[in-house]
Amino acid sequence: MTIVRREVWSLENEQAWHPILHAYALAVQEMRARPAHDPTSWRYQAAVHATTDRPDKFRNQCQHNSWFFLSWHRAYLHYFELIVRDIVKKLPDGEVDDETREGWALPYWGYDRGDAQRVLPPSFRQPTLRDGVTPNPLRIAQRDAGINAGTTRLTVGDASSVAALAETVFTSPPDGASTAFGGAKTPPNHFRESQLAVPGTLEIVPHGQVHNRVGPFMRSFDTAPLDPIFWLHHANIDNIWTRWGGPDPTDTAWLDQTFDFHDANGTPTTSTAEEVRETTSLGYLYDDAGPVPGPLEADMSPHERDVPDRPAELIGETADDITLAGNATRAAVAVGTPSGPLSTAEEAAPTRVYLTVDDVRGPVAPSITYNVYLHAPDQDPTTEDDFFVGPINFFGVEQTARADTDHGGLRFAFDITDLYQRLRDAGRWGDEMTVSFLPVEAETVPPDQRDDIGADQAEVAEAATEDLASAPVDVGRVGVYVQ
Amino acid sequence: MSAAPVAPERPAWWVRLDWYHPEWTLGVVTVLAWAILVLAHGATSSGVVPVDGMPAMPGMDHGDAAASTAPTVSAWATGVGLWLVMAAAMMLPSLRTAMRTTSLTSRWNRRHRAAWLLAAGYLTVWAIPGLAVVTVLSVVPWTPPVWVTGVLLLVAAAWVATPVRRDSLAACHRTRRVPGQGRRADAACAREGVRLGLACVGTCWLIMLAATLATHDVLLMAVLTVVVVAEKVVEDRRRRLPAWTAGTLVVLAFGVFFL
Repeated sequence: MTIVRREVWSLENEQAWHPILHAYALAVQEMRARPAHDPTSWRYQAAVHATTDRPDKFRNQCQHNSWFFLSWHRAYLHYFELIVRDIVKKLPDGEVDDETREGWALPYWGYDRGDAQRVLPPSFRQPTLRDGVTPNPLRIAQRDAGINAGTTRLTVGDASSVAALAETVFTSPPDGASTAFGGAKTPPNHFRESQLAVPGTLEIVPHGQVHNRVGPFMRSFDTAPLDPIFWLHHANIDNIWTRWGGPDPTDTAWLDQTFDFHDANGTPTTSTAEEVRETTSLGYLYDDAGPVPGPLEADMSPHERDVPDRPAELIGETADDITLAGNATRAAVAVGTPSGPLSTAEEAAPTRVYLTVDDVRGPVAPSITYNVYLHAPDQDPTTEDDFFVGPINFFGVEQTARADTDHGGLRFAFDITDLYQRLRDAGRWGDEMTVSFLPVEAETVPPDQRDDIGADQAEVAEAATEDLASAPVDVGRVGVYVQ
Repeated sequence: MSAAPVAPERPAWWVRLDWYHPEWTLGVVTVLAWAILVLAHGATSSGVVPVDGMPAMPGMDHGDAAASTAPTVSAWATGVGLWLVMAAAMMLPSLRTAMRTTSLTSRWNRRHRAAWLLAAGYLTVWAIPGLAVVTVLSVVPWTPPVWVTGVLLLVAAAWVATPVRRDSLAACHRTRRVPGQGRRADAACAREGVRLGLACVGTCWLIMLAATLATHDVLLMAVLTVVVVAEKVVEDRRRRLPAWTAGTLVVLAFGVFFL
């Protein structure tokens, strides 16, 4: 039987406490009650993503900054869904109907579909379950206050899948600069073992942006899956993969890579990318099909140019560390001319131009994100989008402060070929460019669009959110590469 | 009718090797260092060179011929040089990832310079314990019994389980982007090499000491090199490597004891 994963707001709009969401809440409650060593427990499932407590071949295995990002998370969600469905099947008759019991599927948070969908769904903000008494397991305090109150929401830039869907290749060589839809071609890469890898465009936005925006649990590797919205967020990332029109890798290194999980009975099992490449192989579909263009904050036209068969070459970089502490920050980028393969290539202009933000470090992720601009003439919001490079977020940045982990810092890469061309055409591409970081907070929901669900409990977390907003992070270097 | 576009000619393999693997020079230097080690070992085994075995340190008692040899400045200098050759042979290959990363993320015309400045900083750190060991052995003639190497390998295996060693190994894996140009870039590359060297000493000092005292055993050095390089370079399922390292060191220790 093929089950259908539905968009969570479509469920919410059908009825408050839709049976699928009510069943999910009860399953979360049940999983939380199970002991941490039980592979089907809430805490164990979170540890599968990341943990410092006795990591093994099952735990602390999430894949990021790698072409395994999508395949690993698809398998992770699949086994989680099996566990939840198994619990749902055993729920008492009064709590769940037969249709839900047989066909329960993990909903997805389709935040890239419109303004209303960028708000955290009501079932995740309600203080209590539908009985009005039982505390709601889907609402956790470890979210930013406005998000939990429904008074703020993801920004258009956080939620957009357009840049990701515009990528034409799934993977890129791990060269520190090249962008792709699914991530750099690396061995299994939990965080940043591969020193040259950069995340795929989808992993940066909306994936990382949404993690950053929702709250402190979602901003940390170890705690993100403890927020019930994590699973719906990743279901949407998985959904975007199904909507992407490009070809998946056919390389056996990707297809045959195995990862270890537990099924609904707690029995060890393995998955390969080949086994999870088609969602129908796993017994599910999404309730939509085909690309769904989202609103654009910036003009990111599709990258329909080929990727040339030559390495990307650094031609410009900042000189010193840049500290981001909640304010607009600018730094000079000294830019030269290519002296490598491009200098002898037949074509006069680079086929692709990239901007990288490297070695981002900090002990705690700020609740704000930053938009990066190149050579914006001013900080007028009406002109900045012409110079928009991309957003950076801090999901997992706390890992960079640990002595026992391998990574020197978060890394981001953006294709700025169109921006480069515009600056060239305008005569503004020179030997000293300016990179700007502008802080971005969650978007305020207009009062007439609020539902006030959860608003009465918002003050509790407000102070903590404010403290985290401008937590400082350091950027090691901004680089400009041509290919 | 227009002519069909002609695909650009694919560059020669060696051009592409330099494009994508600028750290290839590391391979050349490593091979040379091992060649020197093996040749020197052969020479000392045949009695051409009075110092018996590699990397035998001046002052170490190497049997009848060496026992009567008083320490000299030239012998001391040779010992230091041999230590550096041994460090280059055993430790430099483990710098492959850092050198490649630094090369590929540096300006094109600085790729090799950046990588080798990093390597120079790294070897400078390794030279310091080398100077200490060679100097001590210059003034205190001593032929370490074989069991000392075995014990050192066992201690090295235990060291693998310590938090200090775990953190040092993690630091070995970390790389940072360096500035692009000028003396600032040179200094940053050298500093990065020093940082990696310190982390590597913290990780491998017992292994290196065991290899140093195992004066007759190039094969042991080769196996230890594989262990060191694997821990630094392998990315796939990296967290399992320390267990393999400790197990290999225990096996080698027993090999030293009983073979």
